[in-house]
Amino acid sequence: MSRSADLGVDFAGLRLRNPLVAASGTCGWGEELDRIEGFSSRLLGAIILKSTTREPRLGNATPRVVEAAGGAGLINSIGLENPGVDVVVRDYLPRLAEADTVVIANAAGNTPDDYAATAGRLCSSPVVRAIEVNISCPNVKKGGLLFGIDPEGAAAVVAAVRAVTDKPVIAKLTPNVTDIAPIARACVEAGADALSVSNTFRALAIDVKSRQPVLGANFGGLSGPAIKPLALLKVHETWQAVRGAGVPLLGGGGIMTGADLLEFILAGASACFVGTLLLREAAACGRLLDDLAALLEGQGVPRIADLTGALTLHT
Amino acid sequence: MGHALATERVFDEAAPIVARTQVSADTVEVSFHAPRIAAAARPGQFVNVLLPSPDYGYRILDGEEGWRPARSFLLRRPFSIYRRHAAAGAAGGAEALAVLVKVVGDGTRRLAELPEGSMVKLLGPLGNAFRLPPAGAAAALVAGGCGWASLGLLARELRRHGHPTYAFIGAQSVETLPVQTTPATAQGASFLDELPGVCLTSAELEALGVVVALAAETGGKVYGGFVTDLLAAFLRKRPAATTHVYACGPWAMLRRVAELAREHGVPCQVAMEEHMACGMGVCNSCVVSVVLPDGSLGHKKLCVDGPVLDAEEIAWNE
Repeated sequence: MSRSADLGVDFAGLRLRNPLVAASGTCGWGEELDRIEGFSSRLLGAIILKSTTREPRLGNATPRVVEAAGGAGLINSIGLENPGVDVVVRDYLPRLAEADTVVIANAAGNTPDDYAATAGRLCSSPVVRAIEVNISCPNVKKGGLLFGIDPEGAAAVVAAVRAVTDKPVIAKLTPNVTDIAPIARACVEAGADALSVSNTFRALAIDVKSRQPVLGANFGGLSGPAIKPLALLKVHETWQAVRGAGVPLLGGGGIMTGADLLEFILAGASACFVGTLLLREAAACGRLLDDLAALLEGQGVPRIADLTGALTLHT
Repeated sequence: MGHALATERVFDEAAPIVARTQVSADTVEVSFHAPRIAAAARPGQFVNVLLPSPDYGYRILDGEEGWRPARSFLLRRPFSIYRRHAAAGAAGGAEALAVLVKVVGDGTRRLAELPEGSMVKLLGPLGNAFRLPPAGAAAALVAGGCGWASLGLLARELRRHGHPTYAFIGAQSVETLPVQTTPATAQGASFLDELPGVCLTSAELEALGVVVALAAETGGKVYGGFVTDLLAAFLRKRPAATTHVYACGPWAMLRRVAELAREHGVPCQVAMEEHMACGMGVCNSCVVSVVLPDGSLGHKKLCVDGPVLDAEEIAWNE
């Protein structure tokens, strides 16, 4: 289907062919989903690779996923399983040299120094166009969320990564805070070029027979349609906090349709990520973009970029 | 480890249900018209089933059953490809595939109850496949409950290649055996002489030339005990070097099968299961611990590195 609406967006100096981005942790190392007929990462504006740490990690105990909220949500606790930055740079990134989409890497760690070392290695690859900094993983005991819930901690990590690369730095924020604004502002002041809003919401599923948590790691992070209204508010609050700084937002949480994506754009996002949708039905991405284009055309809007933050509050 | 990515094409087919057969008290065989997946499927592979999700919350009245929660299904559910067959009117070749559905939760209940004509989406074929034994070798298939689902295609493939094939299938009770049972003809199962009281079999499997022995923990007209007892009796009687063992079922059963295979020095492949989401190797949910060649612990993703693993590589005590 040809689309007359312009879905292209400029995002922190990157030109994305459309605002649809594959979220970290749901598109593997960039190639795996391309085996599915009807899906190609070429359809997407960008892909964000799985969180990478300095050392290899085996992650958390199984079960690591459970459906929740009556089929509206997914709770996961993977625990940042990855083979470590050496293997990622040596084995995975070179495979993406011909990738026909924008490739963004994602770094995690226990200390600002960890993040910087990993991000520096990842950004040394010509394949990597930007680095997302995961200061919001709810499923590890050290690092992750501990940085993301505190403006000073968040700023320390972002500044450390900022110091090792000239490529765009995207801070991925947690929604597990009362007020996201001070953390967003701290990241921007520390040199973030963009913000991802947001990671998953901390959550619990209980097996009433065993009286134990379903997940092997007890707690996890909730994603999927169940969190969409919550995530929309976080995006809007972040937009209100940093719009003056000209820092674009990558928004998402439970996006399943073109209309869902448009809601995030209106709330303040310049581009949007899908994650749970890719695990459910990657081949739906084309339909989502067609629906989005049709929505814009129906409203007589020529460019999606014109709608970022176009939400009009009731007075 | 792990950077050799799978390259096999995966289809996401909209597939109508073309047949439903009640196999036992809690198990239904459901067939789908999915020609591209059916044509490509190999023994041990699976499909990830996306269920229709028309509604959220509580339906007001749901037929005869009155008030009950209805719900949507965000994630797909993995099912072994149990059978391939030509759909009615098809010119030839595999047009349809079947899965065995044992009701264990809301998703399996929905799939078990969907009427013929209902549409689902099937992602597949997914995962690796069982490797066949060398020419002439015998195969012993060991299934716990609906673990039989992952061995059904294999039994047919083994017989097609002329391998002497034995199927040991166990369940909690006779009523929950994952095959339809008929009175036994007492052919071929001489190794069972020491296990009296066996008088039910699967006529369908015997028609393929498979020697069948059934077990139920609560007894009945089958061997009363664990299915692994049947494998133990079999391995004591067979020349070990020419037998390959294939198994699928609960963790404890698989561990016992692996022990028996090791004791008798026979190769053993097992199909395993774990909570799964994507089926494509991107989410890292369905990992199982393995012992790497250097002796350290690692993970394999059952959706792409499995579901079939060599029993010897699994870290059974993790």
